[in-house]
This record gives sequence, structure tokens and C-alpha cells, in this order.
Amino acid sequence: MLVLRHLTKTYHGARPVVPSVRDVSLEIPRGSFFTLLGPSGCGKTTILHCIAGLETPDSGDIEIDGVAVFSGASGCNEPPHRRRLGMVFQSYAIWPHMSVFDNVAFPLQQQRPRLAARDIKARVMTALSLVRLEAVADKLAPFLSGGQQQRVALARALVHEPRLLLLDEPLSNLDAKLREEMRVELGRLVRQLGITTIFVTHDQAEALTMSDRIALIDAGRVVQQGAPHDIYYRPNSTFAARFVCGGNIVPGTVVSAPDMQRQAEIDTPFGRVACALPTGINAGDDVNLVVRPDSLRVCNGDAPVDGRPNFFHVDISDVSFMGDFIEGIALSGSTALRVRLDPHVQVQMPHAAVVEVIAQRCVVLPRKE
Amino acid sequence: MRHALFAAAAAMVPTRLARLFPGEERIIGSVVFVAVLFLVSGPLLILISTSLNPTGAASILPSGLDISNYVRAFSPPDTLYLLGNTAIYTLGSVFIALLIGSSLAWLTERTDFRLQVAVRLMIFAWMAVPPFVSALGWIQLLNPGNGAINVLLRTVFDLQASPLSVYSLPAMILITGLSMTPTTFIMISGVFSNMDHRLESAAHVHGGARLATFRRITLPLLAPGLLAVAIFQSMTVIQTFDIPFAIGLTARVPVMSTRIYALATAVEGKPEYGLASAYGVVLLVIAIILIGLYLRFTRIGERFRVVTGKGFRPVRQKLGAAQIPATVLVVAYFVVMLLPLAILLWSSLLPYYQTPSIGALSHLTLQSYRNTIAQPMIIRALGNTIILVLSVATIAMALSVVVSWMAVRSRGTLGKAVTALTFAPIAIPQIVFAFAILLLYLYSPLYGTLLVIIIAHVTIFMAFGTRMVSSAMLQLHQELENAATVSGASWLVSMRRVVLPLIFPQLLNGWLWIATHSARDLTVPILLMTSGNVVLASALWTIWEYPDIPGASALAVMMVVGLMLLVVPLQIWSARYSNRSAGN
Repeated sequence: MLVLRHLTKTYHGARPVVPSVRDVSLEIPRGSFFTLLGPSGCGKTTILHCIAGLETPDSGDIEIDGVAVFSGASGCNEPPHRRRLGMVFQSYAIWPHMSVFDNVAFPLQQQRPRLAARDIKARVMTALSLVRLEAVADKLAPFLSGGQQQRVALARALVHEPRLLLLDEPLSNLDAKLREEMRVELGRLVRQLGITTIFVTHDQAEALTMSDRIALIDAGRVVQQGAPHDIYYRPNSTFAARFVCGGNIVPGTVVSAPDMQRQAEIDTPFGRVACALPTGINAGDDVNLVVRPDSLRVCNGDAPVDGRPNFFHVDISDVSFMGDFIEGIALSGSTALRVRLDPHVQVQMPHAAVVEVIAQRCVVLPRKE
Repeated sequence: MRHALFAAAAAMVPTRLARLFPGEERIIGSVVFVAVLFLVSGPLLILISTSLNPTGAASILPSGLDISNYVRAFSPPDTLYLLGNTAIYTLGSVFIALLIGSSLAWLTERTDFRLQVAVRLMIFAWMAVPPFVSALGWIQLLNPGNGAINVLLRTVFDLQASPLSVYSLPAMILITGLSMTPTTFIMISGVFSNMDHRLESAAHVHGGARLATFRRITLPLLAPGLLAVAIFQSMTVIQTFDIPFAIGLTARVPVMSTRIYALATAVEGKPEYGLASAYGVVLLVIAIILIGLYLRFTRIGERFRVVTGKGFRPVRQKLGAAQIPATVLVVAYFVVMLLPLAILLWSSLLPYYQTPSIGALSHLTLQSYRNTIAQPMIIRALGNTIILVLSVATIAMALSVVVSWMAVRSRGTLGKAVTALTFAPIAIPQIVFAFAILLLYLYSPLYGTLLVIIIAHVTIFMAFGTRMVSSAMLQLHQELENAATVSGASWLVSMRRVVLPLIFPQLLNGWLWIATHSARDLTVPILLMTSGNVVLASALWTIWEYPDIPGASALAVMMVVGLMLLVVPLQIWSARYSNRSAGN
């Protein structure tokens, strides 16, 4: 179990001086796959480096399995090499002057008291077989492909059975197809070993598919924490909605008081939407309506609209064929909504259609100007 | 189980203590910082304080602020003469070096000149020739009495007096200028190859004729780089001590560097440390101004520099019929460069000095070599030189590694301070530095030992080592080192197993460069020479002064051959290495 309490870190060299980690507190249960998700420069890598000991926080506490490795108050600061962690770096950081075997053996060779050469060999080969690289043990690292280097980095991070596995955007340097494969393999391996993993990424798809829990980071703060499902379906801020769901964010104003089921009507640029409001939002409030692609249903242009709530006339244009679906822009007046279309239905463009906003699938968030 | 015990033990260590005793890298870094601070600023402080002592003060210890030394240093007419000499000497030498260096660089970098490889080989091998050795060769060629060229000219034109004299300012300028052509060539080639030739192609495509392109595009782009080279080399000449020492003392053409030597070593009467220090400070200020200008112009040059990820083949100009005159000129240059070495070889093979002739061929013998090697002083000098070279190169590179790591990896002020400190010796003329070290250790038991020379050389050459190592470390991704640390390696282990092996080529290159320059330096050993700390360079000078011309020539030839064995394989190897990494 890893606990961060009120972690703060400011780089003083930078101008202007802005804390890159602000008051971050997290509890990461043993054996879980925990993701720090956020745009580049949000401080997620700094948090990871603080956990590893590569950066020293200004204040706060870091505890691993109940023992402090850093404490701003008492001055305790374990150097990284005594924290017993494993880490996969963004650049893999495979040492090019060593063979694959030597790379993976390195963490074992650093252990005191010394391990017997025979044990080291056995454990290295076990780690290499985990990542299916036994065959290239004697190769020099630069002769490996990107995917192989990545797996060596993983074997090296796991071979000494670290207390935590830290992954710093490990997939971002791979090409798309390989990234998909490695994502599955990494997830399988980590679950199989049951090791507590902290994963840093800016890719929301990676975060959603791999994690047990996600902490969404923005400007050095944790803005939302929860299971992938929670964050995707119940974003608590416009930032979270935009970053994780990638849906349409439509500004609107609540025009009626919510009823017993908290149903109310919202005026939006493309029309009036009826949906449930979260508590705390009342008539007259400015809101953002989050409309993910799955909250929109596209019907034929001749579907009846009059009198039916949440049905709107649109013109669909600018379609892009994405393979398993077609993405299009639905225009209503000057407002554009991204919608998904069935690729098997041929339509003429531009194309008049009717969209239904599925109200239960929408999220209403307060809009702060 | 064991891990749990460790963790528990670690938790029990009082945490305040952990902050008081930071990691080993902080401890080593602080020690190195203090050492470098002492090495660099100690001599300078004593130099400044000595210069402010009353004239003729016996002690070098600070005794107040007295500017009488500066008043004397600047009182006419002597000073004007000295500064004038220094200025003419500097400008003349730099002009010759730039003229020849840039012509050679243009021929090898930008044309299809046939002797390119020969030029490069010659230039690289030249690092093995100590400048004062070629000065000794020139003295044998051009001295008014029996200089070989003078004798030849007298015979051919039936003259009474010798037409040429090595003991003159023009000769000094010519010899210094020639001895600087190789480094000038290397620096200017760098300027040429950093220029993107597509910029010129663009001018041609847009209608620029050859001359217009050269005038409006090529020249303005090269100007800051060339100016920077000129300034850097001016600094080198102002610092140059060995050639003015070998030639200028007899010629009675003093320059700043030899004046400091004369005052400090009591060539005339008793040593005048105060006045020498004042001159030293003046020279230091000039050098600092020049390095400031140099940095300014290199920064401007950098702006024009194109980072060339992809190698582009420069369009080489076809020389055509001009190949022949170019070849003739370059061969003539080779002959001029090799003449002093040839005459040294000649006189080393004869029992006593004779002008080259067919008749003298029958006297050829290796006796001088045998005699020289048998001298106890030479044996001692050889031993001292080996100790000097090995320890200077090793200590300077070790310090450079720590300093570079602090400069590149740590964000703290300590890193910045230590970088500034190690770069400072670049701006400090060697003769000034050697003299300052003399002052610092004069009354200590270290004076007169080999250790003082080692200290001086380490401080002087550290600047080069730091530059080399830090540029190598900059190219090393920080994550390679982080990966080692997270894997459980302490700082020392991560340096030993990851960082140092990865920058090994640059380490070796720097080590050999420092070793070579330490071996061929005359400035420091001659100023700090006692009977106990003679090294090959100062021994060579002693035999020459004795005078034992054949013996000195033999020793010079052996030194050049020895250095050549060190330098040439290194140069070939590093050229291959940089080619290979450029190919990737």
C-alpha cells in the first residue's frame, strides 16, 4: 500500500514559479493498478519521480507499506536506490553497453547481502521468460526492436520483486499496433504478478482499459479519482469531461426548477434539453452539458420531432470514415456536435437528420466563467 | 523477511541525521567543489595581493594596498614598447595562422582538392610537436652564425653576412603563426562544416552569381565564426611563452609573457614578484576581455548554426586546373612545417653540429641518442614525466567527471558555481597561472617538487576535460542513470556501471589529450623548475642551453616520436569513432 499525503513540489528554476505538484494525497491499495492521468505538464511524472525518490518534494509524506520513505516534517528522505522499486522509463533507458541479460541482472546485483550468481541467473531467466525474451538474453540492447526494448525494461523493473512498479508513459514511444499489443500484455502480466503498479499516461484510452483506479491530474492537483467507469460516466468537471470522455461540451442555462426526480429543462444553442440535474444546480444556473457520442442517437431526417423532447433537426457533414464507425459533425444552427454513424448505411452529404439526445447518458456540470 | 527487517532498520535511523548526511554524491561533490575552489582561486588571490604589495617588498604576504607596482608597470617608455611588441607579435601571428589555416580548411572542406587526406594527417600528427621543439629547429635553420638556410643562401649568392635572422620579431611571428596553423585549421573547419550549404544553394537558385553569393551569404554567415577563431587564437598568442622564450630572449624582443618570466626568475638581478604580479594581473585582464569577446561571437555564430540531424553532402567546388598550384602551395607548406624537424633529426645524428652536406653523411651516428639516454638527469626527467603525465591526466579527468556531473545533473547553485570555477583557467594565461602557483607554494615544502607542477597542470587542463566530459554527459539521457538508481544502485555504482562506460570514448580522448599537452608543456615546468622536479620538456631546454645541440636534438626527436605514438592512433581512432556515430 502506497500513501501520499499533502505532497507539494515547486521547481524554483522555472519562471514563473508555479507549483508543479500541489497538495496531492492518494491511497493506493496493495496489488492495484493505479493510473495517474493528465495532459502533458500537469505534474503526473513529477509525482511518480517523487515516489521513486528521483525528485525531492517540498513537503508532504510518502509511505510505502506503512513505512515513511519521505516526510517533509521529520526530514526523512530515503534515496531512490534504497526504496526497492521497479520502474519503466519513457525512453526505456536500456543501457546500450550491456547485454539484455546484464540489463536485467543489474537490480539483483545491487542487492545486499550479495546473491549467488546461480540465483541471479535463474531469476533473470525467469523474468525474461515472463516477457518472452529468453532467446535474446545475450544480445546487446541496441540491437533490439522498440517492443523488445520495452519488454527488457519491464523485465528489469520486475526481476527483483519490487514493492512498487512505476511505469512512466511506457507505451508512448511505440507505434500504434504495438502499443495495443503491449497494453494487453502489460495488463495481463501485472495482474498475474499482483504487483502494486503506478502508471503514468496522458492517453485516456490506456488509462480506461488498464486501470483499477484513475487519478485525474490537472495543474498539479488531483481533480478526480475513481474507477475508470466512474470517471468516464460521471466526470465531475468540464476538464474531466473534455479530457476523459472526449464528448461534446454544450453550454446551456437551466430554465426550470428541478422536480422531485430532479428533472429540469436546459436551454442550449440547439434547443431545449430535458434531463436530470445533480444536486446543487438550480434554475437559472449556467451549466455545461456533456454529450458523449454514445449519448446521441441519429435517426432519419423524416423522423417526427414536434412535441418529442430531446429530438432535434440537424445537418450532418464533414464525415470521417474511422473503420468501425463514421464520425460526423451534426450542425444545428451554429452549434456543432460530434456524432457517430453506422458505417454500413450510405448517406448523401450533407444530409438532413434528426438526433436524439439520450438524457440519462448526459452529465450536467456547473459552468464557471 | 529480510526486506522487512531492512525497512524497519531504515525507519529507526534518526531522520534528522539522514538530512545532515546526504548521499555520497553530495559529499563527493562538496569535496570536489572545495578542491577546485582552492586550486583556482588560491593562486589568483595571492597573485592579486602580491601585485598590491609595496615595490620591492621581500614578502609575498599581503601588506596593504599599494599600487606602486602598477605605476611602474605602466610607466613609459618601457611599457609602451612591451605592449607594442605584444600587440604586433599577436596580430602578426594570428594573421599568418588564419591565412594558412582558412586556406587549408577551404581546400579540404569545400573543394575536391586531391591532398585532403594528407593535410588532415599532417594536421593531426602536429599535436605531437611541442611548439618550442619547432622553435629549436628554426634556430638551427635560421641563426645568423651557422643556420643551415643562412649558410645555403651565403654560398649560393656569395654573401658576406647572413641575410636572415631567427632572433627577430618577424621570425618570431612567422614561427608562432606556423605553429598555430593546425589548431586554426581544426577550428575553422568546424566553422565551415557547421554552415548549412543549402543556404548557399538557395542563393544560387534565386539568381545569386558566385561572387554575389559569397559576398552576401557565405561571408556574413562565416564572419562571426571566423572572428571568434581569431579572438581565441589572439588569446593563445598572448599567452604563448615557449617560442618568445626560446627566441625572444636572445633577440631582446620582450613580450608580456617573457617579461613576467624574467621578473619572476631573476634573469636580471633579484626576483621582482610584485612587478611580475602586476604584469600578470594586466595580462589576466586582457585575457578576460578577449574571452568575453570570444564567448560573444561564438554565441552569435551559434545562431547561424544549423543542427544537422541528417547529413547533407556539401557541394564541393571543382578546382580543375587550379589543382596544380594548390598542390604546389600545400606541398611547400608541408616542407616549411617539416624543415625544423628535419634539421633536428639531422643534428641529432651527428657528433657535433654541422651544416647539412653530402660530406657530413659519413659521420652519421646514434651516439647522441646513447649519450642522452645515459644521462642521470634525463633518466630522472623521464621518470618524472611519466609520473606527471599519468597523474595529471587521471586526476584532471576524475575531477572533470565529478564537476561535469554536478554541472549537467544538479540544478543547484553549487553546480553552476563549480562550472564557472573550472572554466576560469581558460581565461588565465598559463604563464600567469604558473607564476601565481610559484607565489603560492614558494615558502611551502611543496615548492620545487613535482607535485607543484602536477597541481598547476591539473588546474590548467581541467577546463578542457570538463568541456569534453560535460558535452558527452549532456547527450546521455538522464533516464539511463535514473534507471540504475531506481534499480538499487548508489551514485557511485551508477557512475561506475552506467555513466562512465557510456562516455568511455570521450574519457579516453580527453585523458590522452591532457596527457599529451602535459608532456609537451614547457611553460609550467620551466617556471617552477628546480633540480628535483625536472621533466623532459625542461630537461630538453637545459641541455639546449648547456649547449649540447646534438643531445638536445636527439631528445627533441625522441619526444616527438614518443608523443606521435600516443597521438596518431588516438586521432585515427577518434576520427573513425566520430564518423561512425555521425553515420548513425
